Amino acid sequence: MLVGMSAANLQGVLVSTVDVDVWIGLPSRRYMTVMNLCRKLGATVRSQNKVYLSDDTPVDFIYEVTGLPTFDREYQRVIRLPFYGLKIPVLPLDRICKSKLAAGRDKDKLHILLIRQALKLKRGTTGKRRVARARRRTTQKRLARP
Amino acid sequence: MKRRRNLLPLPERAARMLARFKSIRWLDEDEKALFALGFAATPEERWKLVRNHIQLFNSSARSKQRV
Repeated sequence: MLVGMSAANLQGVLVSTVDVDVWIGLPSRRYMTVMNLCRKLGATVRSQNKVYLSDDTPVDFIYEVTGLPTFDREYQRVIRLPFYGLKIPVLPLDRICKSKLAAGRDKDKLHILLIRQALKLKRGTTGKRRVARARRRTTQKRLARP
Repeated sequence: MKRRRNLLPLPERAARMLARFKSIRWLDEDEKALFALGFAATPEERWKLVRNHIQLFNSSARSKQRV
């Protein structure tokens, strides 16, 4: 699944990030499985967990994410976003924020602030619409009653 | 099968999203515009926006190297 700031980007937080972080649901000792797949796809392997795709996009493979439980548990709450004809699993914004808080790096402070602002905005806009839709439905039901 | 709606151009969608943020006081106008653009775009468009931004840095670095 896609994690890190590239996952946040796909959910509307426009922050530039250099690499794409992909969380792999395998134990880290099985990194060769991932690397072999990348080689087949024409990527250049740089290290055990870093490859460069044919368009020079750096991709980092992560086998454990700080502050988050296991891959399987997180995979249950992923968001599937349409992306060039595919539906890709993406870690939700609140979970990205949680992992960044747990990592506690200086470079993440701005990202945490932006993700929190985005979440607040999303709650504000979609929340109101959802409430309005629910209200409309209940009034329609009330009117439909004989 | 789901029918895909015809999307309006991105600037128009962003303007509509920005109008929704009109009542928000805790963000300044520039930040609101950036979030509006981010929320209005589709995942593919968001990806392109960020990639273009990064490529801008890359190309400038390469052009310096060439010189």
